[in-house]
Amino acid sequence: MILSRLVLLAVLFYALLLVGLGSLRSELLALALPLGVYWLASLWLAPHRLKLSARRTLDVTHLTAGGTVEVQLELENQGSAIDALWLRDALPPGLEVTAGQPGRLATLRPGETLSLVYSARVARGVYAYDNVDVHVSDDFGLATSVLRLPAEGAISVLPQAVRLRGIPLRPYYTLGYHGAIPARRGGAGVAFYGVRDYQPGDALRQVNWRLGARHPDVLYSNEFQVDAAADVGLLLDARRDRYLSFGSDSLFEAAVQAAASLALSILGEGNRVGLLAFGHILSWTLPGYGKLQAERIFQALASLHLGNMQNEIPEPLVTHFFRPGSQVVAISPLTRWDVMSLLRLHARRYNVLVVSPDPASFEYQHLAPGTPRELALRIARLERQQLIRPLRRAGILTLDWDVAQPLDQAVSVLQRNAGATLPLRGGGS
Amino acid sequence: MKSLYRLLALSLSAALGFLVAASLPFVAATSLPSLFLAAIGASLLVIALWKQLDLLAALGFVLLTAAAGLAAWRGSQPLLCLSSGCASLAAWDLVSFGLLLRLTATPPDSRLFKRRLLRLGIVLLCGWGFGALALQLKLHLGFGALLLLAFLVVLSLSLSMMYLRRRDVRG
Repeated sequence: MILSRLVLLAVLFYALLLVGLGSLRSELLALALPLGVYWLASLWLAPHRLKLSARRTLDVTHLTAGGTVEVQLELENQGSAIDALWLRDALPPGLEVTAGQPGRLATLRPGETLSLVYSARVARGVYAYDNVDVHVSDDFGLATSVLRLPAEGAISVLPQAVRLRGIPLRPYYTLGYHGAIPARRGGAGVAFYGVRDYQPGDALRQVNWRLGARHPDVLYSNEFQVDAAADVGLLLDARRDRYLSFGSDSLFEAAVQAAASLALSILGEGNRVGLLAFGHILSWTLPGYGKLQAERIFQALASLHLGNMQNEIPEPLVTHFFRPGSQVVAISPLTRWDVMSLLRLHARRYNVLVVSPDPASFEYQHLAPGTPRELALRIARLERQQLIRPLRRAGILTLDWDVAQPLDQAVSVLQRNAGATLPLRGGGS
Repeated sequence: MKSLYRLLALSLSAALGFLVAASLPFVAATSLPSLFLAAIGASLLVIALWKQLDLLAALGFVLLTAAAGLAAWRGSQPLLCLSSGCASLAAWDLVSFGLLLRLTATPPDSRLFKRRLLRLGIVLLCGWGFGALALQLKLHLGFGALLLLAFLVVLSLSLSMMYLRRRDVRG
């Protein structure tokens, strides 16, 4: 309320009183009396001892984007009776109430508890409830006090992730542990890798008898490719100007979901994964293994915001966190400068896989149907092909991801295409 | 909310009706300004509730009170003017409550609404009673006593206002 009702009432009362006294007109003095009684009643009814305590309960504190959280706020009156109490929970941006009300106007007797329950749908993010403001007033609302009560709570909303199969990762160097990435070295495995001279101790079933028949003096043994774990660095672009958004629908959310799905799937295959996100701030999660690392990466992704602090891919940081020869998965809509950076990383012997959410197809979904839209899409696609071409020419696997298509389907297509082009042999260690 | 709207309509009708009645047996040209003010005030109160504008509600109440005061000043029946003032106060209170309900966007607590109505009724009855008593009583006070009385009234109400304002965040 902009104008205090108390001030208005006081002004009217005094005006009638002064005019009545000044002009010696009892009618005007009589008119002032109901206002005076109203005022005094408000004074009499005003709560004198305010003591309230608030407690917040959340049914879940960790959930995935699009999930629903039930919030319960309890307010206990430990002071005198309150005639009118307005409790309104300040919702952090990103929460959408689906059931119940986040506010209530009620009256509260001493010792009574007011309970407020509502459900809210949440988008990705980390939400923190801090204090709750309680407006307390007399019955006539002439004097209102605001009490700020601590009622803390936090919700981590992690991005949605799907398990991807057959992500074509081919780093130059792998780790010593067993994994699912072809290690470019012979040993115990399934896929045929090559042939070498027979060495004492080789099993007879390893001997390549066909080759031995052509060379009667020498025996040869088959080698199989070792499947090993590897270092994988996820590089997520969080620069604001690279991403389109239409209302609450943002291309960045698709990129975050892709990062989460890749992290989940690559960690699930026993690899060591780290995350470097750049945009608002440089956010890095040092490489690690297992479910705990997945949780760390998901938490980092949950709290990620778009920003414009960085203009380019931070190449020095990539080389700092991920050793040359390891796999780098870059998730970015890409610009010409990014392509140059990725080519430089490739030149430093990083095996780069690019997952690029396509801004053109994303924008296409949000435009009105018609000829201009189709034409614009064609032009945008041609531009994008030109943008991506240097990457493909350099042998960098690039997934130009139409975000209307599920990521797992897009990755399976990429894997089919990669099978023909990826070199199996390299400088293995 | 329906009962609130009904009561508001009733109180606004009463405020206007009492003013018209105060101008009877014939509505003189001298009463027209006060009736005009009252009509604008009542309209502003309705618009304030409709458009959720607190400032309009305040202005409407001021106009309705001013209309009652003007009618009393010009010699209309004072008791009916007092009744119109009480009805205006009721209308303003109901509009303020309606605005609060709209602001909170919550269904009204029936206990709160009933108690507020009860207290408003008592306050209006007391206010009207005191006003009517004031119109009947004839006291002969000297200037000094009158000044002292006025000073005491102003002091006590100022103190109460200071107390309430300390509590009121809206100042």
